[in-house]
Amino acid sequence: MKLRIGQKLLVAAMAMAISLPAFSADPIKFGVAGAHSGDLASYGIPTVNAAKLIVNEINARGGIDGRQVELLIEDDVCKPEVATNTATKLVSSGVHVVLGHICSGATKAALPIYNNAGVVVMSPSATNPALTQSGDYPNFFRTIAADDAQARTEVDFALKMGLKKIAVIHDKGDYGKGLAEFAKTFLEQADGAEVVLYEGVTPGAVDYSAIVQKIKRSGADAVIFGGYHPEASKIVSQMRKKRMDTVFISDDGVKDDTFIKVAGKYAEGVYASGPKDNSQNPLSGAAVEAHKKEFGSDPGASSMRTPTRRPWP
Amino acid sequence: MEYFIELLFSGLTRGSIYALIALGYTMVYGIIGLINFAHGEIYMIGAFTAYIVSSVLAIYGFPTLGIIVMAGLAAAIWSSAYGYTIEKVAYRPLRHAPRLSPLISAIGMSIFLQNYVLLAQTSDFLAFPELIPEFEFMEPVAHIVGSTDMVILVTTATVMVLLTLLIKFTRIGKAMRATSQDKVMATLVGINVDRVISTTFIIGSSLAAIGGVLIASHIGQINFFIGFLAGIKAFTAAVLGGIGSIPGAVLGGIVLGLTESFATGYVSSDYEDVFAFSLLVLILIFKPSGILGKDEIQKV
Amino acid sequence: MVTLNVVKRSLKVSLWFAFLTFPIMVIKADPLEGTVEWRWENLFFVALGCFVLSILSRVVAVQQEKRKSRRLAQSRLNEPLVQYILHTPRYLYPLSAAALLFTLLFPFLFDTYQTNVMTTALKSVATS
Repeated sequence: MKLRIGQKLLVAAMAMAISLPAFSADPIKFGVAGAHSGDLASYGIPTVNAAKLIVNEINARGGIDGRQVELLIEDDVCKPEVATNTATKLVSSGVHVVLGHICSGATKAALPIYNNAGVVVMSPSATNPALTQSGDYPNFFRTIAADDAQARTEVDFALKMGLKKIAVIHDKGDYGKGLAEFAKTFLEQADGAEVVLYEGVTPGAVDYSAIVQKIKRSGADAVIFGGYHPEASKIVSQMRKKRMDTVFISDDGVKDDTFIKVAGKYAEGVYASGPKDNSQNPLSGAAVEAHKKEFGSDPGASSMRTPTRRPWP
Repeated sequence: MEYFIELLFSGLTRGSIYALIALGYTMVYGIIGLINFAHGEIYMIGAFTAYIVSSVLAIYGFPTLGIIVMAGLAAAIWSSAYGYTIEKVAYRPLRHAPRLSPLISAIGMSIFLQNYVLLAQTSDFLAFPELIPEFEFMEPVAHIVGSTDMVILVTTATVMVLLTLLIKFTRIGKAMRATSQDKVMATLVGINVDRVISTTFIIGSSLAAIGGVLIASHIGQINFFIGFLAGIKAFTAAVLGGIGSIPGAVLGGIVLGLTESFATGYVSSDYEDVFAFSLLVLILIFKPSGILGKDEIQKV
Repeated sequence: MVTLNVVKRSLKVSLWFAFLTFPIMVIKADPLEGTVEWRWENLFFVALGCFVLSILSRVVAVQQEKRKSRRLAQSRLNEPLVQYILHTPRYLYPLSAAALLFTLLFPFLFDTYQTNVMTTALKSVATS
């Protein structure tokens, strides 16, 4: 599915590239920036592969208006401080348009540099609302819904299911807490809904039974969780082991194959919001096939996430 | 009242988990006065070995009981091997170096081991199998305390008693105590200090492996980074209880776990760490060597 | 020199490390897919690498021992090179001038990206 996003992006990019003043038959420089190494590489590499696939296809057809597309692939390891270097390098090598960055933090750091250079940037995965809504970066586009839209979807979904008492839990990170705050605001605005618990948990803890007991005591019908799959699967499995059947609703940080693998049978009945499921779309199927043929692996989990900083002193 | 008991048990479980890892820190510190920062990674390697062995056996169709025993054994064997090797490679050459050198070496070893597992295995979270089954007789209280929690509690208590007995009454225990009091004198009376230190590392590491297997099957997932986070809390527990003391490590772990659990339950989980570390500061102000620590003015 | 004894001990070391790294380096199992990947070539590389490193370290240790005893025999004051340079103005001044010149010229000699990397590196040196 990420491939599909990549594809859309590329088509958009091509369209924009054409609209740039074309001086001669110089190649169109298409930057791909994101995490291509490090522990978050699994979120960035599929975009690179997708870009390679589509660019090969376009170049084989003779390029765009006779201009070949040249890929400039740069790694930012999802770190803001590296992302500025990445952006500077791309800009100084005369990039026309950039696909990336993958993580919100890195994207935010890199955007001013692209903005000054007048380069269009499109991200398949940076979901921080401020990136588009602040109006600071007119050069930024994305093919994924912002966090507040996700929170809205989750709240609407819970209300539609007739769940009134809701516990909002987050992982204290930028992404999770931001989403939880939106969810809380929307719930408070809604009629009849009540936030019975609003708390952050420490990510990476060895045990979450205390917070699980607290959720039970709050009498919540549902939990809305903002954060990533490792904490979500721990909380869900401990809830189920404590024989609770509270509904669990979460975000696209949880909508990941790893969540289903790790939580196993406890993943049953968990709801997660995310980009539209287009796995049934024939274009998507073809893209996945092409990816498998070229790189010998699956294009990776569908969800993207904004990484939190690792606590190393 | 039921809420209180629920929080009590969740605190005890959490505390026992910290205690299992803290025992390794405290033993090594007691003998050579070194904070073995790589201990958390030993625990992680134990969990990974158990994961790998149990996966392979499960794929080749072994019976469940066999898998549990083999995975536990393999974890203990390889963790001890790693502990032994780390001591030999990274700490022994620095035994007469300034105090900070082995400490830095330990931090380096910890980063090295994390990246070694990251590169040789994966950066993803892996689903750790539930090795401990859900016992029938636990069903009536399952909403308060699960089977795995119970196994962790019992194991920690047993391990603590066995270790105390080992150190008080056996030959090697006596040698350990002698070494911790005065290495030079211990050598003079014919104790092979190198061997005592190696044994300490082996015992500490196999405890970490037991902890790794139990905790991983409790939380159901592992990755290369679990050792760091668990290690920091376990280290805190060891300091709280008085580093170098075996009952102290267990007490420190339980106190830390209970504080966190009650802070979450009655205040907010946002402040869980604030309460835990405020307690640490308070105890260290009034009793600088920890709850059960011996009063002596020295060391890092 | 490389004696038979050194080879034997290095062989033991490499065997030990091969055993030590066996589960994590060799086996990669996925219980959900039911696949086990045996990467025996890693075992070979670990063993080979450890063997070579062990022999090297032993040879170097012997050499150092020799040099130390020779130095003791000559009993000459022996400062590290860096210390020597820092204490001798005749070398220190031209060298610092050259370093300063290089720093100033760096942005002109290399492109923006290299300069960026350098500034980031120096920044982290200054802050750490």
